Amino acid sequence: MRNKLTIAIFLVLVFGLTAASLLKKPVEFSENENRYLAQMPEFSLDSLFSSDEDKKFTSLYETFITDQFVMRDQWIRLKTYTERATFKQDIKNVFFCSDDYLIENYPAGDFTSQTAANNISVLGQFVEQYQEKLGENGVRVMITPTASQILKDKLPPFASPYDQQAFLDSVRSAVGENVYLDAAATLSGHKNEYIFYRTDHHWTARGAFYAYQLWADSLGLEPWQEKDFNITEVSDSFLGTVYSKVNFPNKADSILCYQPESAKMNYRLTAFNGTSRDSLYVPSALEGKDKYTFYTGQNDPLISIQSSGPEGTVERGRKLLIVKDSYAHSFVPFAANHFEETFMVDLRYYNQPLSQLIEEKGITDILVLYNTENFATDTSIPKMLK
Amino acid sequence: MVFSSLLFMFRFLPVVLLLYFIVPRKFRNAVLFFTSLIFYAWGEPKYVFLMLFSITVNYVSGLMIHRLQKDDRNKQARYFLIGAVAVNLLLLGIFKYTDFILGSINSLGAEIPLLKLALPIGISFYTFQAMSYTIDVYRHDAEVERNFISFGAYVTLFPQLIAGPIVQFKTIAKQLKTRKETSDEFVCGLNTFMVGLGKKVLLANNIGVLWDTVSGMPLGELPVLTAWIGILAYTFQIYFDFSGYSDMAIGLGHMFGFRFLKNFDYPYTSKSITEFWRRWHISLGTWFRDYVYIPLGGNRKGLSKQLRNIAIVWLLTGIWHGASWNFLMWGAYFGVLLMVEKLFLLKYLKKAPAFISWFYTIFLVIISWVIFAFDQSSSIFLYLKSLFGLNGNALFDSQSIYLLYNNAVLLAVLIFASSKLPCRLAARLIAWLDTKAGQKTLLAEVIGEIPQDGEFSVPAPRKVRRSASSMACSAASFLLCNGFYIIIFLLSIAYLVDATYNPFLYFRF
Repeated sequence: MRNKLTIAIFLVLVFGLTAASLLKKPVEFSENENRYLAQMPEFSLDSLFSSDEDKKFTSLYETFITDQFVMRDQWIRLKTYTERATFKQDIKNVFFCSDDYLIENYPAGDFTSQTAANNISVLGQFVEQYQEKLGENGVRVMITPTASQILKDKLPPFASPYDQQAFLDSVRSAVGENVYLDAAATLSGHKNEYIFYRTDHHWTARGAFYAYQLWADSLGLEPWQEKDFNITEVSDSFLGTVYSKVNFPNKADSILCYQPESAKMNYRLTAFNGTSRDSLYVPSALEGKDKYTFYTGQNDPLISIQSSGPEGTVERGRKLLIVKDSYAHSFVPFAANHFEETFMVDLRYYNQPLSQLIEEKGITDILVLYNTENFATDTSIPKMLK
Repeated sequence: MVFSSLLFMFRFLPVVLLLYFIVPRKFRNAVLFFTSLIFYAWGEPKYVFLMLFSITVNYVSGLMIHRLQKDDRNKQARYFLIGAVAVNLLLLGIFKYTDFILGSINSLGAEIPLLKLALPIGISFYTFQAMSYTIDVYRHDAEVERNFISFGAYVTLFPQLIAGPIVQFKTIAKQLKTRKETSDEFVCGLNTFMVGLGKKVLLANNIGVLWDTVSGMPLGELPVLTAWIGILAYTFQIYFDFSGYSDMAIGLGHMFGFRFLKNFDYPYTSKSITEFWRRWHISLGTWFRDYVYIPLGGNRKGLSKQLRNIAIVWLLTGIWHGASWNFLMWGAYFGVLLMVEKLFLLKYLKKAPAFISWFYTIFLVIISWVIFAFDQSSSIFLYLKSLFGLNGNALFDSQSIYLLYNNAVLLAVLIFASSKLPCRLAARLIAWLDTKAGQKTLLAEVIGEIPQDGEFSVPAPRKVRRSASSMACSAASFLLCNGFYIIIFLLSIAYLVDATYNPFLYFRF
């Protein structure tokens, strides 16, 4: 009798979950993970016998089942709860930190790889090449450390994430003292302020603002002050990428909008597909999951911004190119106030020669702006030299 | 396909269970044969033909050897045996060892191009199984199997196909013909499967993350404590991974009415290396004993022959684990230890306090995993030096402390789970509750294994009047038994859905 009951429980679980996962309609996009989930792969003899794991039918089907398993998010949450119950201080390289911070650590291998070394040497050549063209002060490089480097005080006791400073030092020596902007030092100086999101891998607009002041100073531009902006909190429910990684309840982040207060500025932002609008911010993004895209929208191959404003703001004839990752998106609303035109190029998606763009648009200033992790691992960096 | 996947548990297994239990008994081997072929072909669609070839060779050889022996043509029968064994070893040699041998020759200056063949998964396991059949038929240790489907089912039986245990034909020959699938067997199988699943998914995979962290650091710069934490993690990972996989295989076997022999028997409680190898991967040790050690004369032809036989068996055991020099070194390491124990050490170990003998054993076993873990001898020596502080590194740093306290709970669970304690405590508790409830205890249910003599239950209980408290005890015992396994099952699903980390360690075997 007891046996029969045990068997019945097992059969109900196995057949029930099987039926449920078969009947469930596949979800296309996971808001929570911010990615497209695997779909039922197409069957063909080629894909069945393929020796490439990424094209093989059987392994694609297995990914499909796992991605589309019934109640996926709840299972993942159950796993996280279990791990936390065993007092684990980090899950999937995310540290559970004080002050409600979730901080991602990146493996040492990312910074010591061949790609990383190669990217640094490419950057060195890039800087040399355009300094010749645009002058000593024409090029600036800002590689910003991530939260694990700046917010060390918040980490669990004895946690020792990879020290990114050595990587930054080699960037500094490759590009030269004059070109390198020490964002690490600046951000560390404000480490007790809200400069990184608690649940996302980006810096906040405030973190970007301090970096902007550093950069503007180095160019001899007079940086705007905080009082020059009307700062409003446009959302207090942002749960970012790091949150998605662990899927564990956490205090949400707020998104701050910096609008020039004293000076009346006009912008014209044009995306790669030709659509344009007159604001640097995208309020509709606040209704979705990835609220960081409130700042100038999604990653786009090329975004251009035309600015105009009263005397003493925009410098006539100066055109800025930012070669960047998404960290630049909350940075550019500050930078754009100084330049007639600002271009943001994302090398991951931009496939035309950069030299041509610089030539055609008459670029006068270049800023290379990445976070350490992206700069170390991005394989599209060599496109800089095209 | 691996058992510890959603694909297996929520696609393959339900289909097999349905098919198996609705077809008439005489078709059940056929169901197992064909579903096992699909199980194998899922990951290796091409190599399934290699396996079918191997099955055919051994099937035909078995028949021929039997017929020739019946006609008293022993010499010809012997040729067939030698032929079959040669084909088996040749397959293994070509697919597993050619590049290793060529690579070794090349390192001496030659430039022979490598074959670069992918290793057919499980080839080391099924070749050994198939070979044992042919040899047993020749030695009259096993009946000849005339039914190709039954023989095919034996070789391909999906529970033990890709990671063992290595089942010898003679141990399940009867079950292939007549076996009874009972609810007792099924529940025992379920429980064993769940224990194995938990060992693999919840314990081995998680501690594996710690090993990956440590082995990913520069090996020459590891503080002593970090190095020890790392190798301890690997020690647990390999045991829980491998024995978990064996448990799942044995459990599935029970569900279909097969009784495979135990493959791991609390190896980390051993008090000598000799004992360790009686408790670790038992089916492999038994295979080498029956088909290499004893035919070579075993221990019956004088001490020097015995030492020679130990050396041969352990070099073979080493290289069986993978085509690489470190596995050969690993085998040699154990061979030497076993010889030393045979020669004199064993009698002292028996007299020594239990703790000393245990410590001696576990220490040497842990060191052996360093050799097992790295295929570069430079990494092995670097790691060994770090373990003993010979690289001039600190005793510990803040990261060592972090790794230790961050994994403290998991490590404590692993230590507890590799001892016999949990099983004993659970058995006591359940038996006590059941006595109170006046019902018989299914030992199988409690300890997840069926006693070898085939007795399922403890002696008939005395009659107890049905009372509220006895009913409560009965319910508690049921909940404890089932709740434990259900929790393991649900947690394992959660970890598998979150399958960023589910490596399978045995592709090199």
